[in-house]
Formats: sequence, C-alpha cells, structure tokens
Amino acid sequence: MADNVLDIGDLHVSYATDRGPLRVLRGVGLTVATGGITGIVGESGCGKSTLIAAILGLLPGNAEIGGGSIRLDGQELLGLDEAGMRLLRGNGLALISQNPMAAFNPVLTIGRQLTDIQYRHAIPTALKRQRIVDMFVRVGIVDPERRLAAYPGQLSGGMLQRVAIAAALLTRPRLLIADEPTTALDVTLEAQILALLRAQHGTTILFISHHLGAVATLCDQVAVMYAGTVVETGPVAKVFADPRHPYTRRLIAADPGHLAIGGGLLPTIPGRVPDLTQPPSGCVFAPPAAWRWRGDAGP
Amino acid sequence: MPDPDAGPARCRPWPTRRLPPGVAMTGLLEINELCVRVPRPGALWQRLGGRNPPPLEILCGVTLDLAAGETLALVGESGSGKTTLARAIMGLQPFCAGSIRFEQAVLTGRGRRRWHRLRRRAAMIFQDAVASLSPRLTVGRLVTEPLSIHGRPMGDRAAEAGRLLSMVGLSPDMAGRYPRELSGGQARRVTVARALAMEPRLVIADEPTAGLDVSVQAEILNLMTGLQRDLGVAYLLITHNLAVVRHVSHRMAVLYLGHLVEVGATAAVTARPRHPYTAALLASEPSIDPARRPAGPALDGEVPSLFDRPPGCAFHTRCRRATDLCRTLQPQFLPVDTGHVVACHHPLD
Amino acid sequence: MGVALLSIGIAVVAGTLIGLVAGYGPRWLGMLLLLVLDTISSLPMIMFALAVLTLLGPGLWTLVGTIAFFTIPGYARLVRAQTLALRDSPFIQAERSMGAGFPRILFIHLLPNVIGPLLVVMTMDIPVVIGLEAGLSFLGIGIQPPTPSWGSMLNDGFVFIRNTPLLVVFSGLPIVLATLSFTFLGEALRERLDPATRRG
Repeated sequence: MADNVLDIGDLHVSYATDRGPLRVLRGVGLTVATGGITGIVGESGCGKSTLIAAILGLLPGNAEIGGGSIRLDGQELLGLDEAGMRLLRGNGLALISQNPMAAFNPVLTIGRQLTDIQYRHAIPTALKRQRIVDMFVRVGIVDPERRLAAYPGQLSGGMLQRVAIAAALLTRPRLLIADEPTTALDVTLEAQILALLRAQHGTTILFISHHLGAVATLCDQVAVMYAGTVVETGPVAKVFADPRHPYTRRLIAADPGHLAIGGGLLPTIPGRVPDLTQPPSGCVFAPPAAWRWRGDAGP
Repeated sequence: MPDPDAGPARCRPWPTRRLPPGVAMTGLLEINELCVRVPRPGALWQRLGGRNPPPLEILCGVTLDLAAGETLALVGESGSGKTTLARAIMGLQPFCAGSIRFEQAVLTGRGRRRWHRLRRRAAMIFQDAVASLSPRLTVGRLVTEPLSIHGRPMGDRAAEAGRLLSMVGLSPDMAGRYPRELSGGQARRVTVARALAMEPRLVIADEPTAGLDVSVQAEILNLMTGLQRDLGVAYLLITHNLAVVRHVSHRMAVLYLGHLVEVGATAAVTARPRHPYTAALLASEPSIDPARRPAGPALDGEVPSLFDRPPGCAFHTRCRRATDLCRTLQPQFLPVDTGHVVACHHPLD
Repeated sequence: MGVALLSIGIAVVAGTLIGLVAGYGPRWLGMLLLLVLDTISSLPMIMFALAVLTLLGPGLWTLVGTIAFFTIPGYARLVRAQTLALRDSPFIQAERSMGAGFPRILFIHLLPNVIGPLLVVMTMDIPVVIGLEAGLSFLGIGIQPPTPSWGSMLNDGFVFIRNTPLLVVFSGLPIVLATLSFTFLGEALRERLDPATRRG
C-alpha cells in the first residue's frame, strides 16, 4: 500500500463557456495520507466541487481536463474508462453528500438499498443484513433492526446522514469523500457526526467544508483553496494557528468563531474572486499592498 | 385559514412563567405567554372516528421582550419553533393564546388591518433570500415595494431605489436586475435594503447568513451592525450559528421544542450557561482551534419529535442531570442573576 | 377564427380570476369554486353545446359564450394549481409581512408567475376551439350566413364535393394552417417562458 491513498498532481480542469474556457482548477496538487483525514476549505467558486467531480470521474460534459494526474493507491484515474470508474466507485471510492435525502431512493426501504450496494460481495442476503446491522451499531444508530424496514422519508436528517455514512463504510472504501456532510445539520448533530467520522480509525477521509470549525475539529491535514489553486496546505494545527498565506489569514479572521468576545466589525475579504476565464498571471490572490502583514512572503 | 383547533377557546391555561421583576418590560416588543398550536395531520379522520387527538404544540408560553435598538438572538435547533415565533410576530402565523405587544399596541387574532401598523414599523428578512424576492420584479421595484404598499410618497422611484441600494453597499445599477441574476450575498443585501425601506424600529432576521461564505457572512453582519448604530433599529436575530450570536447580539434566548429554556445577556449566558441544554449547545460548536478539540459530542440523541413531546421538562430525554422531577414536572422560569432567567430544576452552577 | 380568439380570451380572463381567488382566497371559497368547475367539466360538452345553441338559437355571442363556458374550468384549474404552489412560497410570505393587500399579492405577485404556462395552454387551445367552432358551424348551428366562417365555408363546399373537391380542400386549408401556426406559437412560447430552458 502506498503512503498516500490519493495523490493529485498539477490538475488542470476547465469548462467550455460562451466567453471562452473557464479555468476552474489550475494546477491543483493534493495528497491524502493513508488512514488520515484531510480537509479542503474554500469559499464558493474556489473549485472544491469540480475537484470532487474530477476524482469521482463525474465531470460534466463541457469540462475538459487540461493535464495533471489523479492517482488512487498508485492507479491513475484520469483516462480510466466508464467500466473501470464504476468498479472503483463501488469499491475504492465512497461519497457522503450534503443532502443525505438525495442519496437514497425514497420508495425503497433502507435495508433493501443497503443490501443492494453490497452486490459485489458473494454472500447470502441474511449475512448482508447482518453486516448492515453491525455497521448501524458502529455508526450509533439505535434500534438498527427496525431502521432496516424504514423508508428514507421516515428518518430524520441526522439519522439519514448516519445511514449514509454506514452505507459508505459498508463498501470498505479506500477513500471516503465527505462533501459538506454536516452543513445541513444542527450544531449538536454536527458535533455527533464529526465525532463519528473521527472515530472511524483507519478510514481515509477527504473532508470538504466551508466551515473552518468543523475542519479544525475533524482533520489532521488541511488544504486551503482559492480560485482554482491550493494556496496553503499543512497540518491543521499549524495552518490555523499560524497561517502563512494572506488569503488563509483573511478567511480565518472573517470567521466570528475565532472571537471569544463579540461586538465591533468583522474583517472581510474585499474585492472579488478573479474572473477565471482570464486568470491573472502570478498569484491569484495578489492583495493590495495595504493588506499585507509583515513577513508575508509572496507565494 | 380557519380551523377549529386554533380557536382560543380550546386553550388550556398554561403555568404562569412571568419574568421576574428587574427584567425590563417596557420594550419595543413584548411577547407574553405566546402559544401556537396546529392540528395534527390526519386529525380530521381521527375526529370523525370519535377520537379527538390533541393539537401539536409548536410554541408553548413564550415570554420575551425586546428593547429599542437592541439585538436579541433567538437560538435553537431545527423544530424548536424559532421561525414560527418570527412568523407569529409578523402576523403570518395565528396563535391561540398569549399576546404580542408592539410599541404599546396589543396585537391579537387575525385580520390584516390590525397588523398593518406593525408591518409598517417592523420588517422581516426571510431565510431563503432569493426565494423571498418576487421573481418577476426588478431589484429597484422590489426594494421600493414597502413604500408603495404603504403609500409613502417617494418622489422619484428610481432615485429612492438607488439610495436604498447604496445604503446596503450595492451599486444603483443593480436596480434593473431580476432576483435570479443575483448572487447569494447580493440577494441578501437586497432583502436588507427592502427591510429598511420604511425605516423600521424592528427587523426580524431569520438566519440572515445561512448558506453564505464566511467573508460574505462577515460583510452582511457588519452591514447589519452598522445600520443599527446609524438608525437605531432593533434586531430579533434567529440563528443556530452561535459564533454569530456571540458576535452581534446583546441578549440571547434559547428555545427547545417550543419552550424557552434560558434568557439572558449574551456575554453572561455564553460565559456561564445555566441550562444544561445551553451548555451543550455551546460545547457543540466546533472550535477553529484544533487544540480545543472536544473529546466527544456534548449531547447525544436528537430533538424529540413534536408528535411525541416528552412530559415534564422537554429536554429530560437528552439531559445528563435529569431526575424524576424533570420527567414529571415542567420547570418554571427562575432568575439566576439580574436579567438572566432559566427554566431548569437543576441549573448548572 | 374570430370566435375562437374571442371565446378563449373571455375564458382566459375569467379562468384566471377564478383560479387566483380559488387558490389564494379563503379555503371554503376555493372548495366551492372547485365544485362548480368540476360540475362544468363533467357535462358532456358537444351535447350541451348542441342543446344550448338549439334552445337559444344560433348566433355569434351564444357560440362564444358556450365555448368560453366550457374552456373556463381548464384555465381556472391550471391557475389554481399554480397559485396553490406559490401561496406559501417565501416571496408571498415576505409580501404579506410588508403589509401587502389581497389585490396587490394577486395581481402584482401571483399573476405574472402563473401567466406563462397559461399563455402556452391558451395558444394550444386555439386550434382545438377553431376546430370546434368549425364543427358546430358545419352542423349548421354555429355562425349563420351571411357571416362567413371557415366551418360554414367547409360545409358549403361539402355539397359539391363530388364535382369540385378543391372547394373543400381550399376552405379546409385555412383551418389546418391556423391550427398549425398556433401550435407552433404555443411551442415557441413554452420554450421561451420555461425557466428551465431560459438563459439567466
């Protein structure tokens, strides 16, 4: 087994638009260590969603991969045909999305759907159900036998997200991609789901969120994305305590979560994300001189 | 629409939960013992079958007050009744008991005429900004809509729209756009401009920063803070984001399953929560500092369903301090400090 | 043709009003209006039209009135369904919270949002009604001579179908052409007004 489950190098993706190619990912490099939890933070339009779609081989038709590589356990995913990608999605990769309701078919029972996703395992149905029950216990679902007979609409959002995590773990994925899994949840449920993900020792997780607090709570490593590039990466404790990139500093400063006492105005990030049909050369963030902190090194 | 269960006649008397003396009751807005009930779905068939199921209690005996120029944060999880309370204040949700008093005028029952004054002097910002803008009207038309509704002379409508848009930091050129052409942050600003058009005394903001990026959230919060300083408007801020609460509110009220559990100054409540639920909420907030990572979730389980409201204290099913008393008797509001009240049999020290 | 446009015009205006009130007004009124609409739709249209036209005597306004009467429920139901879907939407709530009155909500906020699908159905109905009017005139209870009508022209031609079949072909041609053009117009409107296909 390689040291890094996921190894993305110099990935370029652009979308064809009326105004020319929209260069959404411009040389993204990212590694996820085996058994580790890596977080990706960034604001809307930074390319998080495109990155996930590229890993899963689910880029829309107008997207074009301009270069780079995505390796899962050393296997190159770019250029893999549909059959190979499907094999991987059921086996190597699993996704937990923001809206668990959309991940389930509303007219089939939970038990039926979780049995179906184990189609690769040649074991009797009774054994598959037992695996589900065991997994439900592991993700903290009370009364698992009864949940098997339930329909997705009968479960609450928090419960359904647990079921989605159980479903993802059932396939024993080499990489679990969690795309904003707690954004739609209340704060007490968010804390529960984060604790649950944290407790899945040995599962490699790529956690995408715009919530800095959630990333700080869950992840070991963090990559900060801005306008299609990774601007800063490193251990969470180090990046959040001592951000080196001016964008990371601004992002952390704008989050009211870091302030113990309220009042006053929050720092904001003036200006707009650059137009990615004509990205500037050099640093995309290129802040006005006045924003620079002493010691900011140009990236 | 009329339904038999919403009539005041069906309300049982509620245990009195008066705020103790010392809490100012001469505010801009006074909500007293407010109850909202809706009939249970499918109740008609059960009633035809001879059974009479009790209605769902969305809000029970909520008593709150809000002073002019103040920000009161209303905190709670999904299903706690936060949005219902906001809708009741604006007269969009009929209530079956209690009273709402706005600028000394008592508002009860239904009928648009009674709420007309409040709707002129108070405004609401809805959670989904884009969806709360009438899709076929331009931004310029939308922000001046309140003026047109209340027959306020505005001279040049385009100039007035431009003035309102620049007040919230938008270019007057935006006036010709349609809601679907706006980004989330821009739509939010338009709703703020519209809310402020009538120079209201009270703005109810329902999750004003939900779904926004942190930098845009900071801009909206700064905008709201600045407008409060300049115009003296009071905010009822509904949110589940405790970081926002801590940052912008003067006082906070915590709602759990339709009951208020704790009310007090934000600084006092966040520094020293007295209700176990408030404490758990505060502890659940993920910290940006990885060194302060919690050992485990502060609260197990989920908010019980309204269909299955626990007897006694509604929180006892998830409370680690619950005793037999909590399981049977609903706690009363008790003052623990000046202006700080808590409804708990065993408040934290 | 004139009959078709006139009767559909009346039906659209009346149907929209009834639909808006049934969708946004008090629930009991909505139920009552729905009952009336259902009653109308359940009547056999051709038989009823024949009976009315025979009783009142054929004439332009009787014909227009009868056709409008039977097309109202379709529009009213469509508008009511759209209105019901919108009545609890945040923007209507927002308007109410600002103190907007019943007519303002109905005509400024609801109407523009329900009119799109309505226009599409309308253009698609026009050919149907042209055909209906032609049919009734063909039966001799529609437009009476000397007022010309595509239907009665077709009827006149029918007498000579063995000698000069072209008479039928050419008197039938405008009906076919008008029907086709309105269908195309309807398709185009649907594409234009559908938010899913429209560019933002």
